[in-house]
Amino acid sequence: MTTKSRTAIVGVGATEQGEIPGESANELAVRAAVLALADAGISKNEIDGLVTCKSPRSGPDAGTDEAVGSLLGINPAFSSTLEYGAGAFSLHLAAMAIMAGLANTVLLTFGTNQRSNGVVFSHAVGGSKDWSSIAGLAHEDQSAAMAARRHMYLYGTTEEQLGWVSVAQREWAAMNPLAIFREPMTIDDYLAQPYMVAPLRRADLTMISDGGAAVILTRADRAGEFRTTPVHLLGLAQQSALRTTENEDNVLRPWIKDIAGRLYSTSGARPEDIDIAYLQDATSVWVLQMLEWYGFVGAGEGGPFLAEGHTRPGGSLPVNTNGGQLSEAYMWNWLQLREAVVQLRGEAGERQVKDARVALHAQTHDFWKGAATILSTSEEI
Amino acid sequence: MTRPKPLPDIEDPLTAPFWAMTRESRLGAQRCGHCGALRWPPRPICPECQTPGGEWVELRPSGTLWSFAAYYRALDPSFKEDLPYAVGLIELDDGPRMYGKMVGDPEALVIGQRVHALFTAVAPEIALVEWERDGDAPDRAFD
Repeated sequence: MTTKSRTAIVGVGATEQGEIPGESANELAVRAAVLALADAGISKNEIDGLVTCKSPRSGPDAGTDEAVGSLLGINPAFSSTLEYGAGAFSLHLAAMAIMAGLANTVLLTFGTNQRSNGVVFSHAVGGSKDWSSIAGLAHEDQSAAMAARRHMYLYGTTEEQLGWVSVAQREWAAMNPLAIFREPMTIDDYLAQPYMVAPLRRADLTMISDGGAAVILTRADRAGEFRTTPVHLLGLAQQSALRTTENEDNVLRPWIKDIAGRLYSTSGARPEDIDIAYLQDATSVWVLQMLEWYGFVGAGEGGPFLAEGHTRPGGSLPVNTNGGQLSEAYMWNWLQLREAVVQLRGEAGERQVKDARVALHAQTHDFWKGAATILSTSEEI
Repeated sequence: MTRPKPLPDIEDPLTAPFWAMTRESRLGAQRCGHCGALRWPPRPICPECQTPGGEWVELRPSGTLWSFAAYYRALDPSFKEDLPYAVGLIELDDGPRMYGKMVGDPEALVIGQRVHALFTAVAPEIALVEWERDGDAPDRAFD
């Protein structure tokens, strides 16, 4: 079964990434929005929908649709803000607005200045009501260390195999002018790094950075009216795991498999149809897990697959070809969405994956929920 | 200036019974008065049947190490003096999974090991639950 596209991305934009002092999250969101509008070849008056993403640790009104919309000087028919609007979740909300007839062309934008705000993850997050903080777990993402350890225990995955997530992404980042970490890193360099939280090293964990990213989504039947090659959304799926630690296995997150199953059945795509994959990488462990749950390999086979180099430049399944959050920037999977579009359009320059036609864009909100989309320049698989 | 370690709010009505039990070296969790489901962490209503409240019952202070994260640098500076240490996720013999600080050398930990609770006084009215491996050979038979 295949589903014909109903929405398509016709514009993307990104500011520089890194440390951008003196610019608020909302200014960065607006600057990215202006770039996305220019990419689509339209003015802000052609936008009738706005989806914004609350900006983490960037101030009280950072990323609200009210604040961003007033800076953009627009009164769109539809506007909304997600509390956790990381890439795929914002994309899905915009697609729903279009499919429901609430808007025709939606601007989605995100900005953050958490780096310049001096945000550090190295504090117990939950305080006196958080059981893991009391125990000394310094950040919820450090449960990823538990996930890695458990994968190693069950399947014999090695630290070196896991290291290939970060090493491969660094190889991609070296070809991406936008990326923050571009200096070469070999697997020996990786293994020589001290543990941040064993068995994870610095290179297994995202950086914290400032920047903006934006996307323009429109009705598929109007996508031809824009200057860019449209990138269609061929399938969307989500799954929550809101019971978190009370679920059967909250560290390996088997519920991601439910997203994959629904995504493949609604889009008609199979894992072997996917040319490039964007797997959100707050930690390298999430990439390992998603390779398995999205069916590129079987459960427990992710380690050898990574070590064989399939995700590296020239590999059979290029993953996070922008360098991902581990090497490019901490942009909540928004830049991976942009990269998927740029690759599918064939505009990725030195790092272009030859004949890339179908992309998977997938992410999780740690232990709470996940979302994924199949993207393609074709209107159906 | 380093912040002190996070300590539980022992006057929070929802969790106070747990800390009252740890002071007596007992491990507790809520059991629903309607459907009987055991729940952890504490909640004001039963997630299974939405019945408010619940009775605190004593759990066996033993379980199996499900997984752990080991710290060799203090990502939370208030834990600097504890280095190296590990935080474990313990699958209790009575069912629920609980985070807890592991006592002893993180290098000695193996998933699947049997562990038992220690009740460590950290303030006059506060005893935290920590976990120690039983010292047996690790049980590699998973599930």
